[in-house]
Amino acid sequence: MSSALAQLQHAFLAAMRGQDAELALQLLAPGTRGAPDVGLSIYRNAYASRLQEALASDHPTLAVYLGDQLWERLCEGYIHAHPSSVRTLRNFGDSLPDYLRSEAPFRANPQIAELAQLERRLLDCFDAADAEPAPWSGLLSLPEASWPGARPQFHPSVRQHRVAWNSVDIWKALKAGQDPPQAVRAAGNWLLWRDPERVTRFRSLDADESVALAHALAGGDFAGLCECLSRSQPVDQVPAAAVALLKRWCEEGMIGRWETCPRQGCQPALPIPGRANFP
Amino acid sequence: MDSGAKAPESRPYLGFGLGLRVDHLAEIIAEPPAIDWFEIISENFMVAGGKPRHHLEFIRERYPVAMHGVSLSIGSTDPLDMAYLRGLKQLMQEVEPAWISDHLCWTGVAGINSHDLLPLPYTEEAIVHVTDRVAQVQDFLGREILLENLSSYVQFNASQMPEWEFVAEIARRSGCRLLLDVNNIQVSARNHGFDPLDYLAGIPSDRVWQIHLAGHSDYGDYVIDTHDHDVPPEVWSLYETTIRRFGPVSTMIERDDHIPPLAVLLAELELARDAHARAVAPGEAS
Repeated sequence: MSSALAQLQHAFLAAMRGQDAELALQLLAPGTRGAPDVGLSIYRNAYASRLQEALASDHPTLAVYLGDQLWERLCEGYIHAHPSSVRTLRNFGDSLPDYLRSEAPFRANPQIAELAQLERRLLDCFDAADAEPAPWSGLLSLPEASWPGARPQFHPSVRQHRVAWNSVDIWKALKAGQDPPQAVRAAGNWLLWRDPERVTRFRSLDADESVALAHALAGGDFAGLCECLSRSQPVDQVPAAAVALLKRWCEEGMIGRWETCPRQGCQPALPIPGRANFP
Repeated sequence: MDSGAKAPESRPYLGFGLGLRVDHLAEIIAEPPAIDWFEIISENFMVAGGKPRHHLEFIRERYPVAMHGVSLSIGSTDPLDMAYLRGLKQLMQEVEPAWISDHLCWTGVAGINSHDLLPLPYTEEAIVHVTDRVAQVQDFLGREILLENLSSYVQFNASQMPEWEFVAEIARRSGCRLLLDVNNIQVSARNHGFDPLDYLAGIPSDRVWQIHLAGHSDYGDYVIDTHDHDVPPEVWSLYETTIRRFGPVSTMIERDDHIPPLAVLLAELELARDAHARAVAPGEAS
């Protein structure tokens, strides 16, 4: 049997969350300035408004996009469905994109969940772990024989953001204080990262870079990168294209370290260009 | 009440500080203000990296820092969150704070976090429960912690003693120190009809290491601890009385909402210096 203290805490928290307050009210002494239910209502109101403020703080663009009525509905529904089990309010909305993908009426408009996902990924970028950007010379200094197994280790903030709708355009318009475009299907792939000045950046990826980045983010090596690109580019241009991508990622501050891992029994499918030819 | 009270020898004194707030960071970095110390919200910096940690490094290179947490939930009947404590200890080792504080409260139960600072019933059961957990936390961190008094809007039938006895007893039994929020004493005194001077009289002087000053919102029937207003006259008055009773105590202004320009808080901090100076001046009876 739980202690009197535990029983009190369960009853009080249940009342704060809008459940039956009868048990909690029995625990409260008559107030000197008002009935106990007035005091309890202060905690109940604070509970809901604090969680709603956290969502509004993390999702300012989504709130504008939905408008007051739908935003209220979202907050009430999410707070009820996902009571906080996290330590700080910073993570309270972590399940919001999933909630919006699965709950009516939001699920009928997938750009809404995509918008929420983008805002959460921007937050994750903001306070992801630090890493000193690796210099381009670090790759150039590797022995040529190591190149097929060379792997960029990305800055912890780097993320891909895949969309099926024009949700990023909607986000950009709202962010600029403009009317958002009509939601339409528009598959796209975006890259988010925090630059060496600790500013969060994002840009779109074309099909080649998208595939190449997915390979490299998964720990793939240079030889594999060339193989990815060879599916869409003339063979003789692939190594230079692969090097150009690595250099761009490096210059954008996305690479924290160069590593090499020998490819045992596996030769690169493509010739590696001499280092003098690197862009 | 005593005048010109002396601080216990064991009590460190940092002077007059402010809570570090994002709104002021650019200004602080451009021209570090002439204040004695900063208090940081521990959880704001228990993140992997990015600007928060970068800014913290700037601050700690220039000012003494105290860490103030909101997630310890020392009074909860849920198990202590060891992952949180590990993160707190790591931050503590990196920041090397003057001290670490949290609140004498519970924030959730059954794995659900209310993200609020909730009052405990003032019972022997709660004293034993909290004392045991403070001991665990202090053992884990390898140092004493400070616990802060809450403002509250309810009182429990089960309570067997006034709040100050509860606070004092936990400090005595656990060896923890106290962070007295003078505004919170004022708010709870209004809400529950006690005399704030009785509260101060019940607090052991050697336990008090820090003071918070803040404002509140008066709704007539209830006073709500919003920490979003200037320090009001009644809190200034109670602060002077507090210093007369306890002697010099490190003091800071804690503003959590409607954050004014830094210059406004710096001016308010001057008022705190003045009030403190009046209170510690010898020979002035209150």
